[in-house]
Amino acid sequence: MDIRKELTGDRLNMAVIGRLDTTTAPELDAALKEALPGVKELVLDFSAMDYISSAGLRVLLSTQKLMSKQGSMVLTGVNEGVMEVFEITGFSGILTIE
Amino acid sequence: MAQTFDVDLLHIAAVSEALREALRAERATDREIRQTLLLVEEITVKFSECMPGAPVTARVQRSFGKLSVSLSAAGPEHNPILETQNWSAGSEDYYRTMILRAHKHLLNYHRVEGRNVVTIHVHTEEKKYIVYSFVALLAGLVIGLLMHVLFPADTVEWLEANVFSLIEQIFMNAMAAMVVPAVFCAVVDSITGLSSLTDTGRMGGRIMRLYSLTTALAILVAFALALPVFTHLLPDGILLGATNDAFFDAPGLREFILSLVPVHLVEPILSNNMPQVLLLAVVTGVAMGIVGEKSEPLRRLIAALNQVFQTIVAIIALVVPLLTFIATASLAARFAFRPLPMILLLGLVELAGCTIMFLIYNLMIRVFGGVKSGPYARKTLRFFRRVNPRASSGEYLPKVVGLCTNQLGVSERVASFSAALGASVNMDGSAIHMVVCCVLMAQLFGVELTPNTMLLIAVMAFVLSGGAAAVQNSGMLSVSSLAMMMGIPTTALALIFGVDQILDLTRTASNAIGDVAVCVIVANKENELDMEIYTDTE
Repeated sequence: MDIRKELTGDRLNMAVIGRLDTTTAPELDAALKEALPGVKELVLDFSAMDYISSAGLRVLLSTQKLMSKQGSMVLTGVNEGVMEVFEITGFSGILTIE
Repeated sequence: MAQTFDVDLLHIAAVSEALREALRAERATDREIRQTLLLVEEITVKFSECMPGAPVTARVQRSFGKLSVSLSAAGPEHNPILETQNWSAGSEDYYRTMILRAHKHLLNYHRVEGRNVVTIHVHTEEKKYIVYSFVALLAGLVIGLLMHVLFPADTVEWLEANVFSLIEQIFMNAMAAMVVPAVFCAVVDSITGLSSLTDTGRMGGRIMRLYSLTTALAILVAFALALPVFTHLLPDGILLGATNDAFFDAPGLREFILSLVPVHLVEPILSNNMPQVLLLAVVTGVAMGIVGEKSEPLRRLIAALNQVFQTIVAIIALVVPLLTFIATASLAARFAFRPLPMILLLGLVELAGCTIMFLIYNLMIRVFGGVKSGPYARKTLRFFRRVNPRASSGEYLPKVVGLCTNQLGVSERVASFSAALGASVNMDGSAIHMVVCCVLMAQLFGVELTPNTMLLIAVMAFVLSGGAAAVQNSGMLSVSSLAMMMGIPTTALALIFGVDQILDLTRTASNAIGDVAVCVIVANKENELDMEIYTDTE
């Protein structure tokens, strides 16, 4: 998995490339924890992310909880496979997906 | 030829890639591959948690044309599928459990030579069978009509006696042999599984009472709709035959009640006496729950037998589209267009039943929940219009929990518990289906529906909807059980099974909508309904 960050003012664009699984989810968690202080608008670009498991969902949920206190979080470019997992777990109703 | 892979979570990406290639070579679709790889990771994590350091092996194999991936690890007994019955919204592996629960119908567990083995069935063919059944229904109608026009009546009769009924009889003999053991094991397994879920004091009792009430109301609604419709609106002259001797109806109430209680333990099973078999199954399940841990070996045996019988029923069910074709062709050849309204009426009555139940849920939210039903109606309908239809309540479960917590303001505690229980026992749509099919069969075979018979149908539908509904092909099993009890020749069921597969999606959605209503009522009673979210119009 590769992570690309772009901070513009208090808006953070973070692109996740590859898989968000048991092994890589802690990496994303750490990257978000480091980058989120002061961020009011988080955009997670998933257009190059092709897989997510429950470990990745947990990271998204904790991030969503954090961002709901300090601003907003949006997911973009979610592909069909990842969307299926969101639907199965009810995540599609929790997250803002564009 | 089976292929074996070592699954190491540290290198899960590389293992997934290798599995992807193996599955692709076996012609699995992209969706099936994605689903399988997700399950491989989640089950491997479960294995690693309970058997730390034990190597996990994945085996891709094709057996009797069915593609599967078996994950195995050596260690103490650990069934990750069983764990999906007990979960809570706050737990660490909540989403893992959600994923496994949603795919429970694709998973099997067994233990061999000290290894825990979970088999993932790669192919998901439910929707394909719905299409097959629909095509079979239309094709049967067209071919039957052509036969009606082109063939003389004695040729049609000869074909019916020597070809159609022969094929139907082979299938139905096999089905009749499986119904009793399959239903017995399914009901016992379901009741023992429920004992842990319902053991939560006041809230568990309240939820069970509400689910029982909705099922009882669904049965009443089904009778109220089906009796006048099938008595007055069925075309004249369609009497498919006489009933068997096994028709179960005792003259007086005293004899009727006495006849429900078996005097012998095995005789009801050997004589296919379904009411007595169900009573035995319920009592056995409850007794095993009371005995607790000591009955664990028996519970495991019954769970294993349940799996075997369900698999046999699933194999038998593979020929349902062929039977639908034969049954429709046979009816159309003999009666031309006259059976068509019967098929449409069956569908319409069930749809009307589900619609009335939706109105009843709204009323219950007002009366028992003490809150306005408007937000429930609006948000639930909008939600179910958006989600893809599912054929099992378990697949709806995470969505129901999501809808309840995020849009209706139900606390996670109530939503996860009540919806999980509902996915196992609340099958109002299925209860409607059983009653409607019984009334239709009674009309087609000239069976008089006496108060005793209707009471028996109602009680059996109540038990079967809760006890056997969570298994595969539950519609087939339940309707076969009821037909057997009424003495209806099982060959008559071929047509109903075809229509059943098409209507199944509607029934399952109706079951889930009922689960949502009970979640809202219980949440408000427990002071765990966030009214701000509930009434929010966003």
